[in-house]
Amino acid sequence: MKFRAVITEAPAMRDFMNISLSLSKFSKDCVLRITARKLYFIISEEESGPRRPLVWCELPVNFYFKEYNVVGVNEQYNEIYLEFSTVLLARSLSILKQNVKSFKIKLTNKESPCLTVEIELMAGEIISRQVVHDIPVEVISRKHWADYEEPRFDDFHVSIQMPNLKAVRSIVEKMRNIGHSLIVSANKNGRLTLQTKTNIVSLSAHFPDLGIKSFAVGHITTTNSDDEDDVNQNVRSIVDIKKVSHVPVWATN
Amino acid sequence: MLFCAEITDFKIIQNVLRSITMKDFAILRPLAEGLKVTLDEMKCVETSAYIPKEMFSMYHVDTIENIIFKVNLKILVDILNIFGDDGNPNLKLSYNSEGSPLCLVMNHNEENITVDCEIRTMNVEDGSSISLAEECDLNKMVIDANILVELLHRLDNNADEVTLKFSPDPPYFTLCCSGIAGESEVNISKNSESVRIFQCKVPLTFHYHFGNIRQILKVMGYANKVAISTGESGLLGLQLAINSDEKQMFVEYYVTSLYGDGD
Repeated sequence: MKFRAVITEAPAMRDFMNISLSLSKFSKDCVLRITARKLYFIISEEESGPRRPLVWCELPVNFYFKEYNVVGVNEQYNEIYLEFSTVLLARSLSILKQNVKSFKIKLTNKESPCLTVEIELMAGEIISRQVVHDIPVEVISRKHWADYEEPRFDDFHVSIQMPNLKAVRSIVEKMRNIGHSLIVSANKNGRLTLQTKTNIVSLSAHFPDLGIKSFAVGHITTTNSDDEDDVNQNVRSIVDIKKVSHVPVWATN
Repeated sequence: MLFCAEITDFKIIQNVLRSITMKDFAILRPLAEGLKVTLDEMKCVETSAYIPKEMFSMYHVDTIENIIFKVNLKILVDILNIFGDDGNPNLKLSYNSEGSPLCLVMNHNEENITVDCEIRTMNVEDGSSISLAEECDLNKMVIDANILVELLHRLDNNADEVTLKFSPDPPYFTLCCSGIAGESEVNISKNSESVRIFQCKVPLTFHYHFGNIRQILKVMGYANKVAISTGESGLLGLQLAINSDEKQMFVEYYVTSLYGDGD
């Protein structure tokens, strides 16, 4: 098994760093699935039984990496699955905040399998400094790969365009100070509503006129009421607000 | 509808309320002339913000009823700041009838976002409506706020007590405190350029807990002028005038003295 990838562009490095930071907020452990075309970060829910992903992050290789090479488990399955600590990765990648010339990540064997991060810093015009971090990983054998299957996206009831994430971030953060759960609902007219309630305060934020990609045809029982009621048909979902609040942070940094 | 009001550009109100939120709850009193917000549960100190009706683009209050209720000020201030630092939202407040929640509706100016909120209100036993302002009727000085802030910072931060002295003779107005580091004293002459009004009917000296005075420094940073007044009982009144564009709002702060006149 071999894996080696290099990033030289600053925005790609920044993105990578932000992703690792967000991952560390969701969970302590993460699975990295390395394929020829994409890199996947997968965090599973901590329940027993068939694992469902809590976070599924896909990075197209040619967008991020200048150089990329992977040799998987065997020719038929040209992929590698590794489990690693998100905290260690986030910590190592925090160096990318500085002036970095290049960032290399590769699979190595240093007494035990590791993801080695090599960062070349521009310390001056002539002298450059190199930082090397080894992050121990656990190689996941092929028999467990089925646990990290790609989730199906076709049973969504509503697919709606997201409004300005900066505003969403500010609002969700304030809601987090108030309640524990966030009620997310959308209606056919493209109105997205975020709500949180406690016995003291009820707070809703409405984002109208958003683009709708798909809306629950066949999932909602249509009643025989007037057209007016039809417009107000809502699809809603209640989520843990702490988990939602991490996502906009990554996207707006 | 007992009370409803609309305001555009309430950044200054947001900032002032945030800087006086030292307690969780506040008592709201929509009066004919404006909205008064008083912090609840403060023992030797009373802090109020007063927002005159001229600051609002629309202001309606049922003057027959004596409207008074309590809300969680921390939550209110948080929600007023829901769009963060950008966006110049406009706000609509309403209070339907006794016991109903306080309703807020905010529209973000640039993005198409509407926030609506209901905060539960609580009843207030309308206690004695003593006019604290009437108690501070003997001596008064109106001074530029930034000068007073600077002078208060010059006094020893570690001192527990500050002594305030009004006199018809020089040095006229003195603040002093003694701490482990020594004594620090600040004098303001009535003839100083920063002093607008000076009146001393009776020379008075009172001592106050310095921490109580320092609490007001944060909001004093937003003020243009401060009126300091005292009376026989030793109650100290600080009235801050805060200007925003052409409008003005006020914060009033009353502190009881530690012990009486005479050194």
